[in-house]
Amino acid sequence: MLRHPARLLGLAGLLVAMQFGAALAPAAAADPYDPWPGLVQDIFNNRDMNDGSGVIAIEMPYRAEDAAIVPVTLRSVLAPDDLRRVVAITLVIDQNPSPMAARFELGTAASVSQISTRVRVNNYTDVHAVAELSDGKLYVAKTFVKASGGCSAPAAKNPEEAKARIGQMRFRQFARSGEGPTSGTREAQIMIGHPSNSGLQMDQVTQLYVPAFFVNELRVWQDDAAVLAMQGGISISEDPNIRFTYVPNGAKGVRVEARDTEGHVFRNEWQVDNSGM
Amino acid sequence: MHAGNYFADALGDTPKAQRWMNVLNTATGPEVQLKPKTAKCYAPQFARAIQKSPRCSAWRRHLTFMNQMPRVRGANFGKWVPVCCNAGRSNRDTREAKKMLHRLLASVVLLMASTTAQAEFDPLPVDEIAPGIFVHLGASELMTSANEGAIANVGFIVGGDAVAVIDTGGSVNEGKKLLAAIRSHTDKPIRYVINTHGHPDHVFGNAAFQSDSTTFVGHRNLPRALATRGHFYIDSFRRIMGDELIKDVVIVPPTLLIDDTHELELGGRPLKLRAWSTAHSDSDLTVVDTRTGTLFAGDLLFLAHIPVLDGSLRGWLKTIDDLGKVDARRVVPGHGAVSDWPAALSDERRYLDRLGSDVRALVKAGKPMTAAADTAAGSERSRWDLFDDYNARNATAAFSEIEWE
Repeated sequence: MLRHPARLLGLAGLLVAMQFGAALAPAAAADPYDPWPGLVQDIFNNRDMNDGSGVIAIEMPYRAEDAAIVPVTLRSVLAPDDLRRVVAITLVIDQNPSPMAARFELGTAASVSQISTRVRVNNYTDVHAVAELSDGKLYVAKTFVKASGGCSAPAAKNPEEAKARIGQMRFRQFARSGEGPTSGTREAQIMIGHPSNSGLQMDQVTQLYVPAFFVNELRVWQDDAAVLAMQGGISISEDPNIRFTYVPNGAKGVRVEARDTEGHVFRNEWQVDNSGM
Repeated sequence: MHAGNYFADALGDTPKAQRWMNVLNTATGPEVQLKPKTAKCYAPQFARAIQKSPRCSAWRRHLTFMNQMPRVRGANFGKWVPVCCNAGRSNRDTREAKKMLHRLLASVVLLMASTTAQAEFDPLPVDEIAPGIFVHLGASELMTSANEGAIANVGFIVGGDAVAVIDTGGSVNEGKKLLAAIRSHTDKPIRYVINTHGHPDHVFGNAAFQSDSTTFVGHRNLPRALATRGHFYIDSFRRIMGDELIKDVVIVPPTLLIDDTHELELGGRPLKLRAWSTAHSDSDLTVVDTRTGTLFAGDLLFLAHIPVLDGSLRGWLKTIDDLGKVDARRVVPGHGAVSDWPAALSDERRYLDRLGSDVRALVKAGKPMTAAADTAAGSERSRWDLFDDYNARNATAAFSEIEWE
């Protein structure tokens, strides 16, 4: 400590600032600190970030209505004649306790062009979507979300039900509005029942933290061809829910495997409707 | 405060502290600042502090080391390790860090106390709605610094020997004003503080009533709800209402827990308490004063103020049916005017029915969640205060529940 006497001065300064700051400006000031440069370093090893317009789009409501369930849609907006393909998309919620919400890897032949999921948002925050293209470069798009107010909190509303649902899986296919069966594109949704404890909640009685317990891996195949893989963190909402578009390869079934941080493996498969819906 | 000082002070002169110091001195520079007020435990604080350092690439080199420390054992996630507060194994250090924080804050408070006189509080306006039952009706607004969070109905019941307080309001100021109102009517001791659930507009005034002779009463799930949400609420409302109103808020977990039904006695004045399954929230508790037939419904009943869904839509609709059978003549809702019972339930039932049927139709049609936020229960807009503040949220919550049907 004494190697850095300046720090002691800093501490004294902070105390003075706290006293006068509290007296003069009682309202909490907004945090001007921008974590993004640090996140680029930590998550992306400081690789160059290129402008993502024309490559990747991110849609979220401007205000998080429910802190525990904020819908987010990631969309590839590459021109149809662009020869590059999206290899992976990383979703970063800058001000969350664990900013890296998810990384999606897109199957080489599945032509996934849109992914929707739901995340927890703790604070006013930038949210970044970083697409890695087959040219090896990273492209970033950004949006801003206001934290929800009121009694909303990034915690389970009905913990008993969430627990009872653990490991249940649902699969749905949807008709793509505005696109006939000839477009070839399908839309599907996978739901996994899981409480997704963040590990940031302290039990008031025991003063112990409820351990983190969440789905950290989800993989989707058409027969044996990879469609989508997600690595998830604690920012993914409980009961992880992924809705995505893809182009069928003629496979008879869709297969899903999910893992959580306690090593549970949840598997399921469903016949797909090849009628063109 | 530099991160290194913080941990050295918290951990003392131990080999463990020395290792932390080495990590911190390598990974961060003197520009790294910890903000004690936002510290919940020091693992994410540590992570955030280091993220803020321009030299945080050094952090990566130390992740291996950090992973060996039980309380920062993060979930492995490719190249990135989100540092979780997974402190189940070792909390001694966390507690010591907190003590250190409290010492620091206490010294600041002492410094300030010399210049700040103890403020006096005017009594909260209350009406005696039945003999010995006093209620303050909250404003149909969001919690703001202007209304000091006084948006929920709060009240108290005076018995032969003692007083029970039912909800304490949205700030310690409101709680103190409620206390002043009680003292302007009676000097009997406050035996119970009953929290009808854990939302901030109902529990943020609890600190005004903490004393050795007062028992806090709540639903069996309330301690968990407060544990998972309390700190988030404090952070969130510090942003919204300012530190001055929030700094004294204390999350007070109840010690008398209600599993099903329970009777409290105030001296010739029995109160019947009932804990409900997940409805408005997962910890809804109602109180009936049998002498006057008065039901305190908490947020199981909203009038004029749009109902807010933070539990289970289907559970709430089912609860309304059972709640309607409660024997009472009048009801004090969580929000809205004191009304006749059980007729007062009809508006809320209609809204929740509409919300459920609209959302169910959207789920069936394969619409995304965002469509529910935009359209569900739109026909109810003109009938409620604060519709645009809460309806989209209700629809989002209802959607995530109903799609599992």
